[in-house]
Amino acid sequence: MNQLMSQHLFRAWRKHWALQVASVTIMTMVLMMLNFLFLGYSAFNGTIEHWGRGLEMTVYLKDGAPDWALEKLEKSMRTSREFDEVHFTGKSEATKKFLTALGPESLDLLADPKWKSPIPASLDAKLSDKVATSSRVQVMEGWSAKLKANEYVEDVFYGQGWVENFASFLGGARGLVVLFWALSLSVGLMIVSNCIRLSFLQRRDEIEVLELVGATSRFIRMPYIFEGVVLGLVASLCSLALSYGMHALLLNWLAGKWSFWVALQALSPLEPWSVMVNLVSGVAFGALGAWNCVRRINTGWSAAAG
Amino acid sequence: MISFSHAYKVFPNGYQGLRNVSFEIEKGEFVFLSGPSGAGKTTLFRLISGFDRPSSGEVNVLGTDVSSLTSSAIPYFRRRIGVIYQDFRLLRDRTVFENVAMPLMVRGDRHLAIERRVREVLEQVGLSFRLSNFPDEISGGEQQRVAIARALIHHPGVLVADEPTGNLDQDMSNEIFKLLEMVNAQGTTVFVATHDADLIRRKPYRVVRIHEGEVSA
Repeated sequence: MNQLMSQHLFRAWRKHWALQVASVTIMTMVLMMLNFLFLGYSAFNGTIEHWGRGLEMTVYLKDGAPDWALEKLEKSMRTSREFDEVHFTGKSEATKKFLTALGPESLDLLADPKWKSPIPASLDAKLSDKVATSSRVQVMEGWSAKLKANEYVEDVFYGQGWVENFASFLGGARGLVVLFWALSLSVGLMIVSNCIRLSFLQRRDEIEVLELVGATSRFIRMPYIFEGVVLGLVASLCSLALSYGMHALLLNWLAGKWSFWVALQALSPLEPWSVMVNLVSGVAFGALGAWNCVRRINTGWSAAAG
Repeated sequence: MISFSHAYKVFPNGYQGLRNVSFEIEKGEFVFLSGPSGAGKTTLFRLISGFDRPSSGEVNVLGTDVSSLTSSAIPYFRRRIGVIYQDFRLLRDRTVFENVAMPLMVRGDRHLAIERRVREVLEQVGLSFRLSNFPDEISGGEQQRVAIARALIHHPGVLVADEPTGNLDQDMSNEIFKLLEMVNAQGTTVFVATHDADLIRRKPYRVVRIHEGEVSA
């Protein structure tokens, strides 16, 4: 069977080289589209990661909270791996900062014995970059709920509105990327299937004769599916080589135009998982396209129809 | 060997290809199928070679009821039949050897056994010197002999030939016909469709006549 399949492949390329090249070209273009989708997805993820960094939380403390309670609170946040920095600001320091921000003349209020500062002491914590982007909102919400339950905590602020909007944007955008990717995949499969079909229809007589002499469906289909797999693999390798080349050119061009580091950092090369997906997609495109086509011709009755 | 019993073939458009066809062919017989174009000769051959099923009635070939064949059993049934077409149905991109060897290759025979049998059968049809030629490099008569060799290579019980000399001149036709008679002399049942009235008259074989889908033996 192996010998038959390699003979079939050799014959197909020798006799129908133009159709084979056309099929590989179209499959390469479809797979390149997928590669650029992956690149776009990585760039999008990189940008989102960047935006999601530097989330901070401010915990406002009640007046008269004992030192031991504050220390315990600070320690629990500091020892958790979810915060990089935790900083305590006492009531007087916070008031001074507030009044300084209002204007130097406001500092006179400090000398007034009747004035009672409404500014509370606070703990400022910065979320660790090690926390995954997808779970940042959850971590912040979890800490907020936990801290609010503490009897010495007045309020917790972490830009809730912004964070929630960010989370819903993240979900929506990822959904769109996945939808677009699935659409491209189906359209790609259709194009590839039709392209292989065109190539196979040229060899309908071969299938008819094989049916005539009593070949089983497996015997007839296997060489065609193998041919499809090779087509897909060749197209996949071509698309990867071209994508890497175009990516390098794009980076060079971008670096010359702007040294905007975020864009350059986001445009990282194809990741190993996307290379794997590309190879698997190429082989699957080829095999499925070939199978879909050959099963339509190899009905068992095609010789009679001829 | 071959028996039709009240067989009908109705096509999806309602056209009746065969109507109440009943006849029998014994083992080792040489029988002509005669009738004008469109009478149903090819339809009848399709039923015998397992390329179609009757709409009703029974078609029995080599002890197998064709109408009850499952899709997976059909290839194995076809391996017991030899079929020859007017247009030869050879693969242009394969040599004479590869074309003739095909029925044994699909059966999974060993290469040495295939080579021995191909040489033997090509010797039989007088084409042993054409082993590595492609169909386009040989004459029409030689192409039909290659098709006959391919139909015979697996020792079929029945050989059906649909207008095997239709595309050939008189000399070539005679040559092909002699070959079919030789095959029959070796014990294979041969069923030949032809509209060559002269040929039928000259030969002493039984004739099954078909007209507008109806058979008169």
